Amino acid sequence: MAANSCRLLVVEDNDADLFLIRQALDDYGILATVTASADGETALRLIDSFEAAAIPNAIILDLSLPRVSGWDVLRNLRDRPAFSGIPVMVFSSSPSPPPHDKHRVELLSNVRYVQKPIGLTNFLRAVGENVKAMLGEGSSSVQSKAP
Amino acid sequence: MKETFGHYLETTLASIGDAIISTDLEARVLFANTAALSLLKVEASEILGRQLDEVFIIQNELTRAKVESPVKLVLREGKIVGLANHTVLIASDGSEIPIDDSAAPICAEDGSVHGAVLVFRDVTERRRAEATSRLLASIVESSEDAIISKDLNGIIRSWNQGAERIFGYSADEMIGNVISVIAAPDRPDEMPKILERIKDGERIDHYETVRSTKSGKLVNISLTVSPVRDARNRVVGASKIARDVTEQVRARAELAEQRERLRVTLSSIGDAVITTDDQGRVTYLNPVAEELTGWQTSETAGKPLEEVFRIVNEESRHTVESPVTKVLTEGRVVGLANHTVLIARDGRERSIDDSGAPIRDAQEKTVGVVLVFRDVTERRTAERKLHIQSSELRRTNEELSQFAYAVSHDLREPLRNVANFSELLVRRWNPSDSESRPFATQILDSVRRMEILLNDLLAYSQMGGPQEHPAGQIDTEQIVQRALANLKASIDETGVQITIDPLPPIFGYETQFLQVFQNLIGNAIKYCSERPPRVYICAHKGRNELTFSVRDNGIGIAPEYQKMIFGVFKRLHGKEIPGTGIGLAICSKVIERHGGRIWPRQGKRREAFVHGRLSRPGGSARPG
Repeated sequence: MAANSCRLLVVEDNDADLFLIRQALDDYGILATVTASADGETALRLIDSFEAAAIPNAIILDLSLPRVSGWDVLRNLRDRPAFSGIPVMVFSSSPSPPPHDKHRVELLSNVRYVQKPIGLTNFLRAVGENVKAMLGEGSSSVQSKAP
Repeated sequence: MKETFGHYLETTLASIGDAIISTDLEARVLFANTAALSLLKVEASEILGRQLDEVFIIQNELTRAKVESPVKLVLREGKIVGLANHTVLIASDGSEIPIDDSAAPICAEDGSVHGAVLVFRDVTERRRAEATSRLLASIVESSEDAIISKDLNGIIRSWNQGAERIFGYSADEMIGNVISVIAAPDRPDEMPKILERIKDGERIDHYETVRSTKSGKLVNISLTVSPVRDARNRVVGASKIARDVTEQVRARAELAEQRERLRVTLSSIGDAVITTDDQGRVTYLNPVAEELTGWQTSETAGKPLEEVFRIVNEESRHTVESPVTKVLTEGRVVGLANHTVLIARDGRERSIDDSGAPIRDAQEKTVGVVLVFRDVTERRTAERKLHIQSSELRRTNEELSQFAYAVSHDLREPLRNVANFSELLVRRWNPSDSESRPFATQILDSVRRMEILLNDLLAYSQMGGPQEHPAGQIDTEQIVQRALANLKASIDETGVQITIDPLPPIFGYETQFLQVFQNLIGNAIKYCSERPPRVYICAHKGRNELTFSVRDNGIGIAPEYQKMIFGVFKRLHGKEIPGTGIGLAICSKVIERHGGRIWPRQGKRREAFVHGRLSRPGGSARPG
């Protein structure tokens, strides 16, 4: 594995989107080891099983998932200190919840919410730019934690 | 022998009950018997030989003038003299005794007068009796009632003024006449029958009948007839007291008629009526109440209302407080709680609707309660059916809306994939295969259009859904500015000139109105066919409503299409003007949900108007 390679957890049940996410990483020159999960349940199991050193640098999370939803995954992540500094990007085809849906808005307080854009170029750009930004955040936090 | 006879006479005179005094020719007292001495309250020795005037002092009872002793007159005239009436004797102790007297001369066989004898008696008792009888007579005379006496043959013996007043005949006309004169023509047998009963010693009390007067008019009288008995207790006649009760009879008849009218009214009204006394005990049920409760008035008299009028709540089945108790404690009209069920005697249940009101007497005291109720089972059933139907309709609508949401949302996913991969295909096209490349482009175009369609459909189905902000006061001008910001690209592209008048605030859902204005302004920009394109937004404040209008200088809407433009997916134009046909449907839905209406207008100068007419804030605007 290359020195500048990062670990990415992608929770996405749509194979086509997963394919495009990989395409975006490629297009934007992001070297990443992608761990993919097609449902919330598997995602939670994966999150449980990560060795401390193998915890992903960023997470891309779809919301509408079979069985355990993305919201439950978010709630679960929030309760894990080991994941407290890991940036999460919610990547959903639905628009962000309205302000009066306080419960969900609160769950999203430290999360970037990106609606899956229409058009290939837009889609690829959304993934590429947001992942780059998240990795920047992650590495800075890693640096601050372990100088 | 002569002496003996003289003594015998003296003894006789002495023992006679009347008082006797004899005098000589000079009016000197020669003899006074015991009765005389006792009345004068003197001893014989005190008066014998004295002048009669000195010992027998009499006065007129009324004038108190001294009356001359009749003895003087007798001696002068030589004949019997009666005393004037109302004479009182003043006794020796000053006490007064009413007397009745006469004096006669004592004559010898040859007719010569030797003296006078005065005979008098105490008439106190008689006077008293006379006074009593006068009093009674005057009472009889002055009585308002007719007081008549008659013998057993029906011959009238007395006839007072009351009788004259009631029957019109005077005492002179009637005394000695037969009583049947006043009999009513249609009751010939009545009087003889009464007389028969009287003969048997019976008394007739307050017997109401009719008599005829002198003028032929009939009067209602209440009659009391009693037998009159003689000293030997034999019935010798009858006394009757008759009272004119024509007024009472009329009033009573009127009252009865009124009662009957009320009874008939209560019996014939369609509502059930129950009345109670002030203790809440049943006094009356009308026929409808009898039918609904299953009780007859005759069976319920005095029963507590709760026993006859059993009511429970439709859902909880708890006994509902009797409205009668409430009326009696609060003294006012009380309506029954909703959803009350009456349980009849046979257990049958009916939904009822009712109210109770106090019955007050002339003194405003509550003396009972009148309860009016009706069977609303059918109405309640209809209401319930309607309620079920409307909730079913609501559910169907919700399902439809959810369905539309699901369809538009779920269709987007695969569509996005089709779009993305068509694009990927176009991007990686083998340049040598130029022929089939337009096919992929065509797919891409169709997918994009479908995507827009689904987005609009999604917006339409989500309107009023849970994501909505609560309704409130909306700053319309700010909403229009936000709409313009969202439309910035097409505004820049077309160079449209937009004029906005001052716009008053409205009440409703902000996001929905943003969509309305965005759609209307977007449409206006789209259809500006003239150059330069112009859009004019204004508001008109009517008496009860606000009218907003968004106008452009474009092609306008032909009358034949004006109705269909608000339908979902209805479009008037081909591909030359982009659109999904959902925009105006959304506008229509929003405005209708807010209690307003929306309509197009074809102006003379080919201007298209779309007005939203909305109730003023705080008016009847219904939140969506």
